[in-house]
Amino acid sequence: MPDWAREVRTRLASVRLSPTREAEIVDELTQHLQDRYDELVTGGATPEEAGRLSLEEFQSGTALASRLAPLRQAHPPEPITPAAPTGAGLTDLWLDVRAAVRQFVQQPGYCAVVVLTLAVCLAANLAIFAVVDGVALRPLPFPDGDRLVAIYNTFPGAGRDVAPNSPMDFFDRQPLQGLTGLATYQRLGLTVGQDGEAAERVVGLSASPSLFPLIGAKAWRGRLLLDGDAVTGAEQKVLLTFGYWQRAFAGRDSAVGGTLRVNGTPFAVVGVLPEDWRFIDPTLDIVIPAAFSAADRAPARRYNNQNWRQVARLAPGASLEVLQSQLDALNAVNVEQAPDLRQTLIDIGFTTRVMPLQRFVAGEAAGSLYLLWGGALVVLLVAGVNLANMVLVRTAARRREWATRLALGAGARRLLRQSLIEAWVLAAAGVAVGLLLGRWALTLAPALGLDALPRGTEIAFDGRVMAFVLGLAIVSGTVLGVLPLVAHRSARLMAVLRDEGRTGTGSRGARVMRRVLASAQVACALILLVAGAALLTSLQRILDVDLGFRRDRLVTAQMNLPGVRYGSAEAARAFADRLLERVRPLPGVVAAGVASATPFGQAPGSNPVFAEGYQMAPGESIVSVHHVSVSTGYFETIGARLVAGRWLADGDVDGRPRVIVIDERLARRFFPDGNAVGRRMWPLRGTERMHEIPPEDQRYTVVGVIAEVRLSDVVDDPGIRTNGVCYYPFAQRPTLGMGLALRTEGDPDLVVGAVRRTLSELDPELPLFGVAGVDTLIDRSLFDRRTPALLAAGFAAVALLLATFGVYGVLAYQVAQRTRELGIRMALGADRPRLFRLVLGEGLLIVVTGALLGLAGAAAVRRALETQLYGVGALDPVVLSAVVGLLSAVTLVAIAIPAGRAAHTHPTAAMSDVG
Amino acid sequence: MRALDRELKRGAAELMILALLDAQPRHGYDLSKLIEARSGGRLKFHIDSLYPLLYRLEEREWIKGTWVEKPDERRRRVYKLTPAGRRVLADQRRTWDAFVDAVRQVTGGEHA
Repeated sequence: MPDWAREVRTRLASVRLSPTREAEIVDELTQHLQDRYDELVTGGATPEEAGRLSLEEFQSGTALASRLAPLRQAHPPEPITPAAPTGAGLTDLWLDVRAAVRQFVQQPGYCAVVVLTLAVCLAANLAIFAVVDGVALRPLPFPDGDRLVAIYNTFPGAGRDVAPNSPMDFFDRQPLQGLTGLATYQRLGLTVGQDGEAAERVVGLSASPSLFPLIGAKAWRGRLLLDGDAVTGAEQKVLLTFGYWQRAFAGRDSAVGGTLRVNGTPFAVVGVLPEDWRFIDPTLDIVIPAAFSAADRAPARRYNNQNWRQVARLAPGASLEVLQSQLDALNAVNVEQAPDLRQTLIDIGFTTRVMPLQRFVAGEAAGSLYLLWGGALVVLLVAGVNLANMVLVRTAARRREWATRLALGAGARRLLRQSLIEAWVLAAAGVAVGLLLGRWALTLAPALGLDALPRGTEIAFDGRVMAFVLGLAIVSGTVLGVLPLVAHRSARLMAVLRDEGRTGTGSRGARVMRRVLASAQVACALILLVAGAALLTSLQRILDVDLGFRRDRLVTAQMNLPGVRYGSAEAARAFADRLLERVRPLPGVVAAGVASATPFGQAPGSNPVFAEGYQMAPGESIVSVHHVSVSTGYFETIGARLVAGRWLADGDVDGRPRVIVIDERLARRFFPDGNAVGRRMWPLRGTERMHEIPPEDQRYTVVGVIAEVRLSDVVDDPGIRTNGVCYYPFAQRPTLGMGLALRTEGDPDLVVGAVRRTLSELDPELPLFGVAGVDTLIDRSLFDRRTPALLAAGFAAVALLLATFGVYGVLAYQVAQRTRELGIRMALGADRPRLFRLVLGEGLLIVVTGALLGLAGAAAVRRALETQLYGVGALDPVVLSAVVGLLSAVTLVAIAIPAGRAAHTHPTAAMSDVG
Repeated sequence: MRALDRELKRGAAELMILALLDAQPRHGYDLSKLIEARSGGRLKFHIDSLYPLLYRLEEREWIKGTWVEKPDERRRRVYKLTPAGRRVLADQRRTWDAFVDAVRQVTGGEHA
């Protein structure tokens, strides 16, 4: 009798079984052979014969091993050997990479789709991230910038959620324990010239010298501004930025120690700032010391001249909350010291807030940027699902190859490695193309107006952006690499060598997974569609806003008269008269007028206003309104519309009764009875005289009401609500800063040239700046609405397209997989419409589930979205129906194609797909 | 055609084993004899295809093998159908019937 156990063991030698399992199999097969032997002997065979015949139970010497090899039990976990040889690692890696590249060269179509999809999504994410990072995430370029805070006042009752501070606030707050340094500053337009050269308009910063130690600045040439420079009456000092030094002084060292005329007064140049110095506004040209007089420091003026921004450094160990509570306590004490203002301050909601400087600088822009960033990530997600499906389908086709490799002894870890390397090779190609695309997209940033964002010039393609995109690529590649193995695991890859994976419809888990993913894609696409459509609708509503004037062929230009030469009201008035006299007859000028603030030009001044006979309700706040002085002919020039009363007239001059024209918003507020004309109003003359009614000659009679003219924004900022505008006759209230408004015909450039020549004849040292068509100014003011809306719509379109491909792909794959089943159904008498409906139903299930999820998602982001909208809700029924309609139409096409294919399945397909 | 033949056989082998275990638990030798006997000798399993197939079904948790020792008998590994296996069997029977039916309809010429 042969040694059965030895016979079995020999045949098992090449299979890697655990010792226990091997013993068990040997045992079981030995029993079988012994049974057979006993039976043969019992049946009368000789022992030799029985032994030979029993061994014939084996088909061959190798069949047992090759059939056991695919089983899981033939792959016990590898024992952990400390000091396992690793020398071949790099060579293996190189071989794997080469193998992967070879594979993809053979499948250029698959490869191109994956790489391009990844590249486009990564590029979009790169561009958006670069913007978000530059504006909101990157630390401020100051040492310990995260300890810098902005301090600001707030008057929600008067429509100002964020307002600057008064000079007195600067002195009040310096002793607070919660901060170690405090600076105050304001940005100014300044007229600057060197002796013997034409004056130009520059961007200036008036800042307390404490700013420089606070933000860690060093001088490049000369010295910084010192506390001693900020004294009224002292010799005036100026500090140049590097850019201005280069431009105006050609980078000459002799500039330091020289003089610069600022608004007509000589200032000594003390130094130059380094090239990389940035604060608030990258276009800054010069810095002058903020000098405050004794009057500015009087407690009575504490709530006046609120034009100064503040930046502070938190004291070591102090938190925002500590500083906030100290500010609150300080305010409480100060309010008690001003009993007659107390109620007004309470009604106006006066408080002081502290916020990290970085967040303060990013401001409103951050909100829409984060939304867009989210959008870009969602697009990547949707694209990722498509790629995942492609990978899964490709893997299904490769299951035999994988199973064979396993059978040949490749470890699971080895397969994971190969799969990861393949995915990483694709991701690497995707990221390479994506970086190029994204870089190119970033060069478009200025064209999109993105450099006008806060810190917009810091938007850059740098290490941080690269790291972010590489991170995304690695994550995408890893997911795509691991996915097939996970899917295999559930589908029991090791069992693939038999027929299961061929005739069936794939594992149920994988099928459900593909449908869920497709639904998720539809949901994501719908959320983006809702956001994109809402933003576009909002943009349309904004474009439709009645501006209160005619924007076509309206050109404006700005001037600032230097106080040194135009100190008296008479001088400014005379200048405006002469200017208009000379400009009006110029060819191409249809009408002309001047105003202290033209639409979308210089910021109008604002101040609280009061009305005779108007009784404030208890708790009602005083309101701050814009004050604009306008020449005769100005309203006609811009095409304002008179609603009641009369225009300002030539007779409304100094010495005549004081008159104003107000806009409808202000009229509604103070004269809800509709009879504003003939009533009297006056602006606040200083908080200390708030409750006095001014003498007769300082009260203004309303002579006209006009339709509201939008002055600085098409719609109000969420943080600054307009309360209305008072228009004064320029003759009665002249200003040094003024805008010239021109209604033109013919070539506006010719008109502007002629105006420039006229102005230089009148005053050769007066620069004309901000010359632009109002149309252009409006467009520029809307970029932060238009760009996000267009980008969001673009993301939505891409996501819809990707989701459509996703739904199509899932159904098409399913139909292809189920050809046999469909063939059987056909053979059993199902008609074409029924098969069509079958697939249609499955498709609709995916889309309807996705749409419902998407609607829920849209409802979840509603609040965030609505902060970016004007005149339309995030879930506006009309917008929603349009979006859902679009989604349905597009996805129906995606469903109809595979459904049609299913309906045309031939009954013989039942046979053809079996083998 | 050889490929089809192989696939059909493979599917059929599974179906047969599941069906035989449906009636009662059996050990490997028992199964091989039954298949040979019931097919009138036309089907015969080699030991090196039968056991790998059993182990595969076991890994799929359609059948379960346990060592049973009875007095005066040798220790044997006996296989029985699991609930999952029972479901698969029912499913495969249906599919098989439908398939055979479909093939008959297609190959049996035009029907009325």
